[in-house]
Amino acid sequence: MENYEEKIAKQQTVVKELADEYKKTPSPELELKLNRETDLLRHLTNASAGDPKKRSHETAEVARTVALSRAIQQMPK
Amino acid sequence: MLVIRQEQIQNFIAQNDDDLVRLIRQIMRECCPGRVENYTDKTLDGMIRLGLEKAKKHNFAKAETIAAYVTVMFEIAPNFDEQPLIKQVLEDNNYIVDDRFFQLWQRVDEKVWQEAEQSYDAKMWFPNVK
Repeated sequence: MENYEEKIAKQQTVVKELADEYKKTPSPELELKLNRETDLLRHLTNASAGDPKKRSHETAEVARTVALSRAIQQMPK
Repeated sequence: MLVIRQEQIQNFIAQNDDDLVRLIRQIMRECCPGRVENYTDKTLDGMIRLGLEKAKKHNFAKAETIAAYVTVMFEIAPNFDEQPLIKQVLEDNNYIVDDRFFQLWQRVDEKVWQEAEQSYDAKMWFPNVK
């Protein structure tokens, strides 16, 4: 099991520093970098919940169900 | 009895890529809000479009499979399909392409999913960062 707490704390610092820099000198490049580092933070937070097999299965099934529900709603009555 | 062809079902789900991007955005916002919070729709749509391109390389035929595939990219890692055992299942020609994706949870164990999650590559979502 990875030590997510430590990784998340480190990544929070990276994101905060980048966000502060972006506030002072915004640029498209910095925005992309901030998005990338923020995504890593969210990934780590998500992963810290554990059980990736179960989580991914549930997510995939929800997506499939929502997509098929949309088709059912649009079928001619 | 009303008979609805598979092609019609696919059109009911999404008529084009833009529709599908909107649907996947809606799914992510409602089902996994923490994973995509603070992203503007424009940023999130860009990420979803990258996912669609990857899904097309797998030749998935059904919109529901593409939607599920992209949401798993967010949940686990945008490069989860590069994990060797997952890749092997997705390329197994003994089964229909869309079926292979939903077989992953019967054919791939927890350890493999952990490896896929740990191989997360941030560059996949934002490839243009210098």
